[in-house]
Amino acid sequence: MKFKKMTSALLAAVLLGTTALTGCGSGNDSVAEDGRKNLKVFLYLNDHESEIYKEMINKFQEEHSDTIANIDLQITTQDEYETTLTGMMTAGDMPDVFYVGPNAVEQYVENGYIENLTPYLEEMNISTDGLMQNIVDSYRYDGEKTGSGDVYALPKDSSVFAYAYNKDLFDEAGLEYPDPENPYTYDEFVEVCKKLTKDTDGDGEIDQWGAGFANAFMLYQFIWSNGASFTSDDYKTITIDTPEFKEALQKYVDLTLVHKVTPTVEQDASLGVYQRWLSGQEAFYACGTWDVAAFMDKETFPYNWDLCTFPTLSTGKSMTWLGTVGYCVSSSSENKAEAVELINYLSTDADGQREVSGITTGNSIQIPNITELAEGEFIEAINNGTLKYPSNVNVIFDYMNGTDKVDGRFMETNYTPNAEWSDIFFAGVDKVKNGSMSVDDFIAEIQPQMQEALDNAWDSVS
Amino acid sequence: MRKNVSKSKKTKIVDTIIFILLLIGAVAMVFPLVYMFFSSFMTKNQILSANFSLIPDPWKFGKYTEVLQKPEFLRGVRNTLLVAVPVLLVGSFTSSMAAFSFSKLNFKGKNAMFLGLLSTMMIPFAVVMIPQYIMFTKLGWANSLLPLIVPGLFGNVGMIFFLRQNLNSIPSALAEAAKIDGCGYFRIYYQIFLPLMKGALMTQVILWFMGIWNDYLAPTIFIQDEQWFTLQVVIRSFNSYYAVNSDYPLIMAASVLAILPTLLLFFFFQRFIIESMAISGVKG
Amino acid sequence: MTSVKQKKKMSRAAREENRWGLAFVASPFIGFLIFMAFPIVFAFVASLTKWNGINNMLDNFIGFENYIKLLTDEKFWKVLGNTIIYMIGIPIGMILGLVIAVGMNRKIRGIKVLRTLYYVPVVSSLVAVAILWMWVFNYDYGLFNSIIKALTGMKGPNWLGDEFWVKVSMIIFMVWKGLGSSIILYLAGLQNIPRDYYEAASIDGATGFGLFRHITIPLVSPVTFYLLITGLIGGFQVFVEVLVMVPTGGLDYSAATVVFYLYEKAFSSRQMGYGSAMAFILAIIIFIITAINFKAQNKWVKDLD
Repeated sequence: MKFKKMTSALLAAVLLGTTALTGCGSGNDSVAEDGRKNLKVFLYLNDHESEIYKEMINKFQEEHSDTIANIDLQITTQDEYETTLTGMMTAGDMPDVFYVGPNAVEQYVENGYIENLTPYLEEMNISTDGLMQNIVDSYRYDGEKTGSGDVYALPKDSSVFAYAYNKDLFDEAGLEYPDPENPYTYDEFVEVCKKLTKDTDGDGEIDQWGAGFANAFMLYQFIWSNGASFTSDDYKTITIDTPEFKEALQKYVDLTLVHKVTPTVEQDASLGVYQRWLSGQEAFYACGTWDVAAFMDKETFPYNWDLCTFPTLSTGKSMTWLGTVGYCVSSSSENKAEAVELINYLSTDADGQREVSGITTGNSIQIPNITELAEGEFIEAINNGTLKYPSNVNVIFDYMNGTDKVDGRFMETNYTPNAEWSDIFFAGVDKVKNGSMSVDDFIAEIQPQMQEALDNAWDSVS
Repeated sequence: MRKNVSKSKKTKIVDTIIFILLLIGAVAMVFPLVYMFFSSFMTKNQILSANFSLIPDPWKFGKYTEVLQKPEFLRGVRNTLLVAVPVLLVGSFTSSMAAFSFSKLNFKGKNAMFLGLLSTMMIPFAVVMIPQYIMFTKLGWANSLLPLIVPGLFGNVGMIFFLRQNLNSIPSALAEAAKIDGCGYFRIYYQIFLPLMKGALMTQVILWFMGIWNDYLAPTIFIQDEQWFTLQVVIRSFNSYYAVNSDYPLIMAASVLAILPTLLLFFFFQRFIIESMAISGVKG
Repeated sequence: MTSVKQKKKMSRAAREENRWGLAFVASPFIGFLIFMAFPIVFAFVASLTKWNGINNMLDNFIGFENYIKLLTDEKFWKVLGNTIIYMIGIPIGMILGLVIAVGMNRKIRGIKVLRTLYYVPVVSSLVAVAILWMWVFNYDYGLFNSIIKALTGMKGPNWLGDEFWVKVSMIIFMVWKGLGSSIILYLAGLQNIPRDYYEAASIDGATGFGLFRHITIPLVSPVTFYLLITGLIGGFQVFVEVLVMVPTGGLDYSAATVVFYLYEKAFSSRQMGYGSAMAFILAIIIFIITAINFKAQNKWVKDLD
C-alpha cells in the first residue's frame, strides 16, 4: 500500500514538473473552435524589420478577422533559421508560412515540403506581373530546374550588394568621386586606393586604407568580372582551376599583398573590415540594400558616403551578387488558401512595401518588390529627401536589372544543395591573402576537397 | 634554542617568497577578469585605442543599465531559473533517494546498477546528443525548456555518487535500528538520512546550480525558439550581434553579469565547494 | 523449525527491502535508460545509415560505409590531430597545479585567499570567459599584444588567426580555466600525506627536490591519475571554447576539434548518420584510452592505504 503510494507520488511529481512547463509546447491547432483558421508563420527578421512585419501581420489579421482567428508569428535570427526549420521538418511540425531561398526551391519541392502557388494565384486572380520579374523567376521550378515553370514562393525582398565609398576621405585626399556609371578598371582602382591608403597620425603605421574586403562577400565580384565562376553551369563541377579564376584570385590578394591598399589578414582579425569602414578607416566598402538605413544613420556611420560600382577585370563588366528570400506555403498546411493570401499580402501589399522600403518611414532596409513602386515613389522619395538614401541609387537598379557595364547574379551556392564546398574555400583563402601560400598551391590543395563536398551535397539529395 | 629561532626565521623568509610568488600567479590568473570588469565601464574608443589602459577614462556606468533593459537578457535569466528550480527540487530529491538506497539498502543488482550509472560519466555527450536532439524535436519539445528540465528530474549521477560517498561514512546501524522499529523505508530516508546529509546535499545543489547556470552546449543544441534561450546562449548571441558595432563594453558588461551569480555563490560557499571538489579527486 | 521460520521472516523483510531499494533507484535508472542507453543504441543504428534527420533512417542503410569514409576523411584526421594537440594542456596544468599546490601546502596567513583566486576561473561561465579571452587574444587591441608591445616594442602574434598560434591560444585558455581545480585536488592529496613520511625521508638524508621527487610525486599519484583520466575524457570533447572563440574553426580548420566537426556535420550539413559514426569513433577512442590507463595504473599509481 505504502509502496504504491510512494511510487505514484514520485511519478506524479515527475509528471507534474514535466507538464507544468509544456503549455508552450505543441498543440497549435490549425482550426479554432469557432471554425476560423489559425496560421503559424516562421521567419527570420532583424529588430528593425520585426516591428514593421508584426504590424503588417496584425493588420492583415484584423482585415481577415472573419476567417482567421490567430496568426502565430515565430521570429528567429538568420543564423538560427536553417537549423530551426530543419528541426521543425524533423519533428514533422511545419509552420504554414516560412522562408525559402532560390537554392532550396528544387529540394523542397522534390521532398514535398512546399506547395505550388500558381493554381492558388490563378484562382484568386493574383498576378505577379507587378513584381520584379527576375526575382519572381528565381522561385519558379518546372520539375527539372529552377528559373521557369510554376511559382513556389513570393519574394519577401530582393537585395543587391553594391559598392560604396566614403566621400569625406575622397575630399580629404582631393580626389574626384568615382563615376557610378563607369566602373573603374582594376588598375584605376589600385591607383585611387593607393592615394587613399595612408598613415594619418604619423605613428609609422598605416591606419587608413583604400578598401576593405571581406572574402566571403567580396571575392565573387572579382571572379565573375574576370569571366570565371566557382562551379560549372550545371553547378556540379568545381571550376576554380581555370586561368580566369586563378588570375582573379591573384588580383584580389594582390590588393593586400602587393599594392597593400587593404588591411592585412592580421589587422582584419583584430578589427573586422566592416568595423573599420564604420570608423572611417576605409575609403571603399560594400553596401547591401539592407545596410542603407544603418549607413545613413549618423550615430552608426558619421561620414558622407555614396554608392558606386565594383572595379572590373578582364570582361570589363562590374559584377556583384543579388540575394532574395521568399515566402512559401507548407504543403502540409491545412489552411493553404489563407496562407497564400497572407504571403501575397506580405509580398505585394503597397503600404507594407512603402514601410519596409522607407518611403513612409525614411529608413530603408530593402528596395520595394513592386516595380512600379521602386521606379516611382521610391526614387521620388529619395529625390525629395524624405527617404534617407545616397544619391547614386541607380547603381542598385543597374545591378538588379543589368546594363552593358554592370550586372548582378546569384551566388553559386544558391543553386547547390548546401554551401559546404564553398565554406571549405573560404576557410582557407586567408592563407593566400596573408602570403603563406600561392594561388596555384592553394587551388590544387583545395579543389579536390571542394569537389568531394559538392558531390556529397548532390548525393545527399538524389 | 638559537638554532630553532634561526630556522623559523628562515622558514619565514621562504614563506614570504613563496607567498609573493603565489600572489603574482593569482593576480595573473584573475587579471583577465579584472580587465573584463574595468572594460565594461570604458567607452568604445578607449577599448579600441592602440595603447593599453586598465582604468576607464571616463567611467561609464550606462552599459549595465543597457544590458539589464534588453528583454533578451532578462528572458535568458528567467529561462535559466525556470530550468534550475524544478530540476534542483525534483532532481535532488530523486538523487538523494537513490544515493540512500545505494548506500544503505540491499537489493538485487545494486553494484551493477551503480557501476552502470557511473559509467555514463565516461560516455561523451557527443554520442547521445544527436539522438536526444531527434527525440526532443519529435516530441515537439524544441519550443520549450523541457529538453533541459526533464532529463534533470530523473537525478544526477554526480550527485548520487557524492551523496553515496557521504552516506557511507554514516553508520548503517542507524538504518538497522530504524528497520527493527518498524519504520518504513521512505521514513528512514526522509526523517533520518535526509537531515544527516543536508550539508552535502546543499553543496551538491549549489554545484548543480552552477552547472545549469553555466551550461551552454545542451541549450544551444536543443532549444530552437529564441523565446526560450537560456542566459549563456543569449550572452553568446550578444557577442556576435554587438561585435559588429564594436560595442565591446556592452559585451563585457553582459559577460560580467553572467559570471557574477556563480562567483558570489562560490565566495559564500567556497569551503564546502572546495571540499567536495577535493573529495572527487582523492576518493574518486 | 524455528530456524526455518526465522529464515522465512528474514527473506520477507529482505524482499521488502529489495523492492524499496529498487524503487528508490528507479528514477535515475529509468533516466539512464531513456537518455543514455536508448540514444546510444539509436546512434549506433543511425551511424550505419545516410540519415539526414528527415529522410527515413532505415531506408538509407549503408552498413559501415560512414566509418570507412571517416578513415579517409582528411578533415577528420586533422580535427583529431588538433584535439590531441590541445591535450598538451593536460600535463602543463598538472605540473603547474602541483607546483602551486606544494607552495600552498604551508601555513601562511592569507594563503586561502589566493587559493580562492586561482579557483575563480573554474566557476566562471565558460561562454563568458571565452568571450573575454577572445578579446585578450585580439591582434591589435588585445591584452596580450598590448603587453607584449609595451614590453618589447614588437607586435605580438596573431593569436587566433594563425594556424599555429591558435592552438597555443586554446591551450593557454584551457590551462587557465582548469588550473584552479588541479591545485585544489593536489592540495587535498598533499594534505593526505602523513608528515612522518617526510620526516623519515629527511632522516635518510633526502632534501628539497629529492623529497618532492621521491615522496610527493608518488604519493599524489592517485590525484595525478584522476586528473589524467578526467583530462583525457574531457579533452576529447572540447567544443564550446572553440565554438565561441573561433566560430569558423580557424584558418583552414586549424582550431577545430572532433566534436566541432561533428557538430557542423550533424547540425549544419544535416549528415546525422555521418555525425553519429564520428561520435562512435570518438567514444571508442575514449573507451580504449581510459581502459589502457586503468590497466597501466598499478605501474605508477601508489595507494596510500
